[in-house]
Amino acid sequence: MDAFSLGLEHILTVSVLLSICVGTVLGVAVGVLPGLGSVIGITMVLPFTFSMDQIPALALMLGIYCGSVYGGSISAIVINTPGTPQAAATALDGYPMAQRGDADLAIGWATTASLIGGLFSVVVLIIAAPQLAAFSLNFTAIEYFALGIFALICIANVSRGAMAKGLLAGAIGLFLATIGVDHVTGDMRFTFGSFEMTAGISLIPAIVGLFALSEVFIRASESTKAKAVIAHNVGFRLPPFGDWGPRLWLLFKSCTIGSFVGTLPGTGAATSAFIAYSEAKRSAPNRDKLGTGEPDGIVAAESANNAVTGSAMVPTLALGIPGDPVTAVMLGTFIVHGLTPGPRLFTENLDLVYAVFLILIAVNLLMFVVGALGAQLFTRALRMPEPLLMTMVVVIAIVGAYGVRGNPLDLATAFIAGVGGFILRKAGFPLAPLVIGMVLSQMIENSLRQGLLLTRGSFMAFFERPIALTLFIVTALMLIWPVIRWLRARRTSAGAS
Amino acid sequence: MARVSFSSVVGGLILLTTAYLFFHTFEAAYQTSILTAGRGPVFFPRIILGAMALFSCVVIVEGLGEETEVPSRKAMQVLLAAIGVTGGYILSINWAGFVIPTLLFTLILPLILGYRNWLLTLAISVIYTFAVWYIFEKVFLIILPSSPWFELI
Repeated sequence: MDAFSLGLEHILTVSVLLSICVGTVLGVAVGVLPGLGSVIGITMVLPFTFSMDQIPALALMLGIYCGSVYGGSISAIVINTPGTPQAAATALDGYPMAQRGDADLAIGWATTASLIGGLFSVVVLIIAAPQLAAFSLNFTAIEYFALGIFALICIANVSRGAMAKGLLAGAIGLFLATIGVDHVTGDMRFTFGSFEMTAGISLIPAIVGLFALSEVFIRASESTKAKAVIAHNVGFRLPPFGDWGPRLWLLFKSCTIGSFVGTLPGTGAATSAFIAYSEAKRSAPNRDKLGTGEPDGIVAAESANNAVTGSAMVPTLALGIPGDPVTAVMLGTFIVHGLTPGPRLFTENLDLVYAVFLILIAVNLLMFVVGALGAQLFTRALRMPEPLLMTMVVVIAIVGAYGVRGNPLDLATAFIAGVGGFILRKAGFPLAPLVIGMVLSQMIENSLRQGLLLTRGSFMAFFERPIALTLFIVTALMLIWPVIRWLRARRTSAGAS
Repeated sequence: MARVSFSSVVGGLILLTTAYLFFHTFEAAYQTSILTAGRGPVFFPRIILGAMALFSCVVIVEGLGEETEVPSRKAMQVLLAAIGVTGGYILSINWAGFVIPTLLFTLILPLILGYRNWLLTLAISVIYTFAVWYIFEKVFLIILPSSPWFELI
């Protein structure tokens, strides 16, 4: 039996189909609720995946991921508060449309554009991931080192206005992952005589603390501020077929932007939605009406942000390098279930790769049905009192942190990460580079040390390999460019004054 | 006089910790292998700590003169209470099991966060705690900490 048939067989089981349904519905619900978002959604279902088989676990997570990216658009349209940052651009035209009394039509545009964007990105994943995996077979430790550094700098670099903080957060992540046993020499590092520390800092409790617990503390620190009152109740109306004709080119461009941006580490759905929205503002047929409740804005933002979901899986599956915290958690789930993403996944577990492709297609189709039938119901979730919701998030997050190894130390890790994450967020530090640093640390360290063995200790020999050299040059440019831009801006302002 | 922002303070704390950890890497315990030619267990951490020191200096300088929003006294009290209760909850799970601390925690945290519907809070607390416990213990077979006083929970 070929790999595709095996993959199809994998997903046509009750447990996988149920996971797809539950994941998608939960994902949309999590997306609708402002502030929760994809990462918290995924960390909340983590404990459920520990006792599940590989494919149902992945189906549940992919459902949450895609569903939450779409779900954010519902609250963006109905209450002008994006459920997730990815849906911020959707609110620009979605909310004015809702104010006009067309909230159901706005949700119709958002749902259909999300479906098309999501399916487009699966096609990109199907085409690009195997090619990238095959290409990466040429990689030695030196290329992996260059790639790891490139990914980390990318993520730190997109922290707009806070590049130094992004780089520092990335370095902290790299350092935290070195605590425990050195995998090369077997020596203990930074354990300070504690036996419990020899196993190092577990990634999942750290993520649970950094994202879920810190979010609760952030809400607690803002609980005295007045909150918006939710008054809308809306449905779903499919846009007329004829209205799509003039928007097909815009749709294609937005999907392409989303898919391209999704493959780049650190950029994510929010960035892609704003780039696509800016492009729509420059070139869409109704560009003059953008911002006043024009469907072009919703189509651009929603197709682009959902087009990220599949393409973000390209580097994760093909290279084992996650592009954002969501794919980092998924990578962790792969590893918990005994799978190592990377080129070998495509040779040894091709059926599983096909199963992932098929799950993504199923999730996107189901997302449309869930949105169409349940939009009104999901807006009711917005009425849940925030204190109760936050309490539930803490409890399930704690179970998630504990469930990985059943180790009480992981609870302490989650709590410390929660307080640390809160302090860092309040000080304006982005958390994504910290998590990605933790994930990439071992790969970067091992490839650096292996690379030095290959080159007999010469750092200069790292620059003699074309792929690595290209990556180093791009990385250096990314580091230098903000400094050049700052100097130019300073010179311009000095000239003006 | 330059104002010191919260991000500068955080950057300063990270710099101090980094400096301590960097000097820690020169302890005798890490001078374990001559064969690694200087690339032993702390070779990579030293590079990272060097980068951390550099970036935290930049963060400190960038933060000078920045305005920091000071939370109100009430917001600070709520925050500290929420952190304290969460910390207490996590600590108590280890010796009192999952169910009893969770019941108490789900009653207290909404109260701290300003929610005053006692009946709904009580109902959610009982239903949610036992639902989570049942699903993980009995359906997913993930053993949660149990109390020393009751056999079942």
